[in-house]
Amino acid sequence: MNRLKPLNRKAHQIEAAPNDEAVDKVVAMTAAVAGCATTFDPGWELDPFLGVAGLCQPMEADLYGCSDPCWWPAQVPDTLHNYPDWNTGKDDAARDWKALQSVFPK
Amino acid sequence: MSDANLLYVDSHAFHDVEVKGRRVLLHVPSTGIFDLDGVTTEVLDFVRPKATVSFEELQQRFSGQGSPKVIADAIEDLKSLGVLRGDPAQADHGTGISVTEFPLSTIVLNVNTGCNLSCTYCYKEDLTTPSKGEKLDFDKAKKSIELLLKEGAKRDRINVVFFGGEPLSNMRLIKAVTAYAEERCREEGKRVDFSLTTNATLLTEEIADWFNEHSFGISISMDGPQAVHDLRRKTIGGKGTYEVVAKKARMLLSRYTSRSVGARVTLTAGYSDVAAIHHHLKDEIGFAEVGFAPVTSNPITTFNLVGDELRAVFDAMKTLGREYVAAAVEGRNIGFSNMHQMLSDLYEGRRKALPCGAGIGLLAVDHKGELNLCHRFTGSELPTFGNVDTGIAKAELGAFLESALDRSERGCSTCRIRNLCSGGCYHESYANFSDPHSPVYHYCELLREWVDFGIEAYLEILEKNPAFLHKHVANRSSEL
Amino acid sequence: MKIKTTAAALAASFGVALFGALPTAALAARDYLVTAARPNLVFVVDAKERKVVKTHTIPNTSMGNSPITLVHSRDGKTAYVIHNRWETVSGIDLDSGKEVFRAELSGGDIRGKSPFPMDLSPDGKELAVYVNPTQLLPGEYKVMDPYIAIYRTDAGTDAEPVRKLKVPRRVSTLAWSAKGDTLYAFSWDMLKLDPQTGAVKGQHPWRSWKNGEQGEPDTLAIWPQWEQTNVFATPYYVAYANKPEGDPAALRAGIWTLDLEKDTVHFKEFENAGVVLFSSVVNPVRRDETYTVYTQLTKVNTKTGKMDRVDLDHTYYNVNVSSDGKELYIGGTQGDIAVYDSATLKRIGNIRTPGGGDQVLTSLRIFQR
Repeated sequence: MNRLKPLNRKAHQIEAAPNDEAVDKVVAMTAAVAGCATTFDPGWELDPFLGVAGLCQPMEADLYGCSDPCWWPAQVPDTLHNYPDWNTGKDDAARDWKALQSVFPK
Repeated sequence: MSDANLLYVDSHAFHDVEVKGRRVLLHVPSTGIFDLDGVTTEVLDFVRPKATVSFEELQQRFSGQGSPKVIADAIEDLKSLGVLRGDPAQADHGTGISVTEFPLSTIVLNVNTGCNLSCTYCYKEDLTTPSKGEKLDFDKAKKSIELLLKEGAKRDRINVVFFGGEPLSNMRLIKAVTAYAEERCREEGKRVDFSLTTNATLLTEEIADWFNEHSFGISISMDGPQAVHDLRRKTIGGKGTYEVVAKKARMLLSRYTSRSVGARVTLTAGYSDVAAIHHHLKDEIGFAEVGFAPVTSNPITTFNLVGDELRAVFDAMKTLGREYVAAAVEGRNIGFSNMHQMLSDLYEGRRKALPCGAGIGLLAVDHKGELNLCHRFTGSELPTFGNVDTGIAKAELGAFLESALDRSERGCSTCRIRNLCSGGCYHESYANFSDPHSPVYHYCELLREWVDFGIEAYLEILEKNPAFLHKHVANRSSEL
Repeated sequence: MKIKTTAAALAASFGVALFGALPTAALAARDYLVTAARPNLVFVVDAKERKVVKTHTIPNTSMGNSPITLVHSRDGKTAYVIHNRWETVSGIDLDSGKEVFRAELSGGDIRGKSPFPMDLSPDGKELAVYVNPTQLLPGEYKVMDPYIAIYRTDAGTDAEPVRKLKVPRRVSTLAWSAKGDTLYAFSWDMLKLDPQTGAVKGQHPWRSWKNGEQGEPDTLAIWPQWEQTNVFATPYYVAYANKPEGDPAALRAGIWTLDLEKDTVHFKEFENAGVVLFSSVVNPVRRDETYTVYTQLTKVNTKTGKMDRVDLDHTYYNVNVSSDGKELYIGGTQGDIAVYDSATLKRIGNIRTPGGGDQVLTSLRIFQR
């Protein structure tokens, strides 16, 4: 939140700002923290050196390698837990990526 | 998709209040409460009467009014709350989840439909004398405990509540069930809490000490000073019970150490001086806290608080509420249960999809072993949902709860307190409208006002003595 | 399928192994690669022939997510693979394709997933699998403590662990020592565990290795490739605080090795960090020589730090070496395994996965039979 100030616990949770009075500990839930081998990693739009030259070439080489372990949880459906069939039958990403569909919450 | 230049305004996603010049926003979908600063207030006030607003309109309105970044930040905040959105707002039709599991934490056992009193307003449809009352047999009670252990297998703590009629008229069963539940919970590695509400007339020192040993949570039904109490809470012979009840209550309070004891007040037409009742019960008898239940849905309508009188009761609740706030600011807790509950909901930001735990966290067992939505429904005409022999009728109960979750055809879907009230008590609705799913239309307006009052109270205490909230209000209500 | 079965039956009746030509005592053992590919395949490749010789289907698996870690028995008879959205480990007989081992990591309301760490004891009798369990309650998820499940490999298709070892979080690699007396668990530091009790016998520092201006090293170690040398190798990055911002030498790349026989470690920086490096392998013949892949193939001498590099045609995650040290097999990610000359770093061959499905994050192992 840029300007709105949270006034109760739920609002704080929404704001997701660490709070001195927070009682709950946050424990990481899912499996591998599959971070790539650098100490800073902005995501998949940029490589670890903040350029694009270091990204997986082509992007499809990495599509399942990164989506399987929820490395891009916001950008692709979560086949590890909730949408196991998203890429069923589309086993060759370089050839089949065009057939991948969106998913919609049930 | 939608016009990228347009923002939709969801006027049902928020409710803002003004408290002493300060603007505060209740985010309805989440029950988050936020302070609105000057800029966001202006943006909000500009967009609120509109269904849609374009970026041009915003630019026009706010150009030259401080840096564009500041305005953009405010818009972004409102977008993250869904108050402004890129697509049209969806009506709140409820969560639409399907209910197939009933993780019970609480079982209520009607140990005897009989009661030794004849309080004029009692809602129990099957009330009779203790000897003629239908008593729950031990076998069914044991099965109830097993049902609770089975459906509540994931719980670390479970609750057993004894109800009636008058529960003390069947102490033998209460003691047997307590021993059984304690042993079973020892075996299962669970904690068990017991509680009951009683008219107190049958309390003895021995019973009080036994309850104390087993850490029972006790609630005594008492309506206030003698003049008020005796008008409604009478013996079968028609005599007022104040003297006996006051004596027994004092006796209990003097020797009860394991938990705090509360008073439950039924407010009826004609006798609703909330502050005076509270003062008497809290300060003169010595209860730790006092909770008020206004009667609005009694089949005998003379008792019902309606119209002007209901209004007067709510005003009286607010007056006591203001006393509560003043005391809280000074660090004192005057034990007004209704305020505690509301402040707890606001402090946590509870978002209720259902009005209560009936059916999903709690079930009540009648003397036939039938499973009822809650203790108010035992002996009523509402169908039961299985019994302790065959288990919960999951399909029917699931359907009931899914119906309760479905706000699509109700006023609830646009109401600003829909996630705090969630349609109100099933029994209230059932008694008033013969439909447990009907919203409590008879006091919707008042309840919205009550929540506004609660927000004001919350803000004042938050500002002047937040420690009170952490100490007395946090972690108060059990959540499913 | 029918042909394979008939051939299998024939071969069995003649009492010969199915691999390659009828082997006699005089024929030298051949190199075989074993790895997995989408959707649910474990396959074996005659490395020098560049030919897929066996394709097996992992039974009862979720199709949308890919098989991951794979470890083979030394005798090349069985391959164990994590699959089914990381909730199951299956052992596939590489001759018959039969599932001879299966362990479900989830049960009841507990969802167990293994996020890559798995290894087989040197004697092939025990399989160690690291598990992250979560309890799925009606209203919340409850995170539980991770553990290492140790299974007997003869436990069949309904395998339950014979013991569970308590272990810290954040384990990315499990590796048995060459003698089987230590189970290494790569957590924040490289822990040395007693495989019987899980007791921490010691550790090689990793996170705690930082000294002076040098920060914590950082690596991603989920590609086991040490079977021929018993040397675990992984590329890493490390930052130096005393270098000005923007100085290319502020972030350095290196190769870290842990000798699973001698229990010694070695850090070797070889360049300013410039490219992404994913997995490394040590040449079984020239032990100072390592190969690391991602979108480039990098050869590093861990004694001298001398480096050679070529670009690959696409990104690959895995690299392994022929037993004679002459050829490199580069796999993972997509649907092919590239073959490179280890001396010249020239591309000399390619093997397609059966059906062309992606290998994604599985392991590329090599054995001799």
